Amino acid sequence: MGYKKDQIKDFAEEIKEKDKDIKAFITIVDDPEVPESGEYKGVPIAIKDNIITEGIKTTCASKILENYIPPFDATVVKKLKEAGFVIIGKTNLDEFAMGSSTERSAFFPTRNPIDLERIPGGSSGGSAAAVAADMVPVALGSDTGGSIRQPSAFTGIYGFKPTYGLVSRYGLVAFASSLDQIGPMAKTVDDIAKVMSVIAGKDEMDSTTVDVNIDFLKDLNKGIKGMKIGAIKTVFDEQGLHEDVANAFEEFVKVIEELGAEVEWVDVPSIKYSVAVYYIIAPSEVSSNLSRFDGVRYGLRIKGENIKEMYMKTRNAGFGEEVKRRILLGTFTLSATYYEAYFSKAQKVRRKISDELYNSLKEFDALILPTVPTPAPKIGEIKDPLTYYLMDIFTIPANLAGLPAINVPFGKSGNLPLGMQIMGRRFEDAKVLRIAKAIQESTTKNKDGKTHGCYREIKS
Amino acid sequence: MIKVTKDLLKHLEELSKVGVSEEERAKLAESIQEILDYMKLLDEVDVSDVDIMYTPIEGSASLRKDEVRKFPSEKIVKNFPEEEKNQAKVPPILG
Repeated sequence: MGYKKDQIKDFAEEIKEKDKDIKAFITIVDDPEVPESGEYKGVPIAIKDNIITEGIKTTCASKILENYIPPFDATVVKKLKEAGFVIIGKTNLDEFAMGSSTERSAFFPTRNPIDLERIPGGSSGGSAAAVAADMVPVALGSDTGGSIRQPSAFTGIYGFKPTYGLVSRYGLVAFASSLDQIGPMAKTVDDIAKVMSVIAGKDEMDSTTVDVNIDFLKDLNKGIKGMKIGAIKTVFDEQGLHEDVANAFEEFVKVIEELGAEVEWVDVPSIKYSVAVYYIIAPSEVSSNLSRFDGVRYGLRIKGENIKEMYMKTRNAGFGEEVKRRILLGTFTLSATYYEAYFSKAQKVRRKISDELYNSLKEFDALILPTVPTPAPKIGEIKDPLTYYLMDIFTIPANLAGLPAINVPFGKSGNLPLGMQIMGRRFEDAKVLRIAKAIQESTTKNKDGKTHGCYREIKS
Repeated sequence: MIKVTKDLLKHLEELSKVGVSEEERAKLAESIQEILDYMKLLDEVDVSDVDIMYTPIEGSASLRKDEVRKFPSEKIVKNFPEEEKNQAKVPPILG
C-alpha cells in the first residue's frame, strides 16, 4: 500500500480531515519526502514528537521546544527513510513523554478514537490514536514506563517495547536514559515485526545498543504449542484492578492454553514496589537530562538581568507543571542528604524486581499480565498525579528490567478495549511477537469482538 | 519523615534553576509530599545484600572512536534563540 509522490499530498490532506476531532498530530507534513527505493517504499508512518526529524519541527509537546527544527535525523528515522517509509507527521504526547494520558501536552489533549470523551492514554497517545483511527498503518512511540503499551491498550492496537539496547535511542529526546526505548505501534503483529526488522540494531551513536541479530519474521507463524507461560497472579492483589480486566486476564490464559501452551500461575511479589522505584529513578534521570533546556543554544528564551535569571524564567515559562514536578522531585532524590535513602535504595529494589523477573523467565518462555489495571478514563477525570502513576504498575517492571513486552488488544469493558501484556526474556523479542501473533490469529477467528481494528498490512 | 515545605521547594528551584509561581509552588509541594509519602512503601524492603542496578545493560556498553565529524552549522545556528555573526548570543555570565 505504498503511496507515490503525486498521491502523498492527498493522503496528508486525508489525515488532516480525520484528525480534526481526535487531534493526534502536532505536525502533519504538507509535502512529505517520498523515498525512491526501499522495501516499504511509500508507506506512511507517524513519529512521536520526541523523536528528532531533520527539517521537521520536533516539539516534545513542550513550549520550550515549540519552534525547534532539528538539524539531523534520529537513527530510527534515518533507517525508516532508507527502507522507503514516508514520515507523514509528528504525533502528540505528554510533555517530554511525562504522563499517561496525553493531557499533559502543552498544546492540546488528544482524544481516544473509540470514545472521544476519553483519553487515548500516554505518553504516546497521539501515535496510538493515529493508528487506531486508521490515519496511518504504523507509528513509532517511546516507552519509559509503559508509554507505548498503555495507550495501545486504551485504543485497542498492538504496541511493542523492545528489549533495552535493541533499538538506538540516538535522536530520541532523553527522558530517563536507563529506561527509554523506542518501539512500533500497529494493528497487526506482522506490521510490528516488519518495523522492528527495520529499526533494530547496533548503533555506534548509542553506546547502550547491543550487537545482536534477530530475525523477527522467520518464526512468527510457528505457534506456541509446547511453550510454557507464566501468568502473574500477583496482579490480583492490586487494589485498583477493574473487574473486567481481571476477567479478561483469566480468559487470556484460557486462549493461550487452547493454543497448546502450558500456563502456570506464578507469583512476582516485588511488582508492588515498581511504581515507587520508578518514580524515584525516572525523575532523578529527568532532573539531569532536562538541564540542557536552558535557553542558551536552542528553544525558548525569556530574557533576564543575568544568566541565572534567564535560566529560571525560561524554564518557568517553558516547562509545564508535570515536568517541573519531576525535575524538582528528581533534584530532591539526588541531593546529597537524601541520595542514599531514595536514589540508592530505589536502584537496589530495581535489581530485586529485575532478578525476580529474570528468575521466573528461566522457567518460562514468557510471562503474561494485564497491560493496565483499568479501561481508559475520561478526559479530566483524574487530577491527582499519584493516581495516574499507580496505573503504570503493570508496565513499569519491563522497563526496570529491560525486558521486551507487547500489548495485545484483548477483551472489552463496555465499548472500551482492554489490553494484555506478554513479557519475554532479554533479546527474545521474536518469541514475544510469535506468541502475540498466535493469539491475534486465534482471537480474530472469534466473532465476539475480542480484538478490534482492521488488519490492513503494510506491503511494499 | 520528610516534610515538603515551601522553603525546601524554593531550595530545589534554586538548585534546578526552575522558576515557579507562588500558586504553583503550593500545588507542587502538596503533590510531591503525597508522592514521597507513598515511597515509604520501600522501607519494608531489605536490600542489605543487594547491589545497585543503574541500567539493564551492565558491562556491555561500547564506545566509538573519538573522531570529529562535520555538521551543517547553518541548521544549528538557525535554532539559536539570539544570534550575532553566526554565534549564539547570551547574557553576561559574570556580575
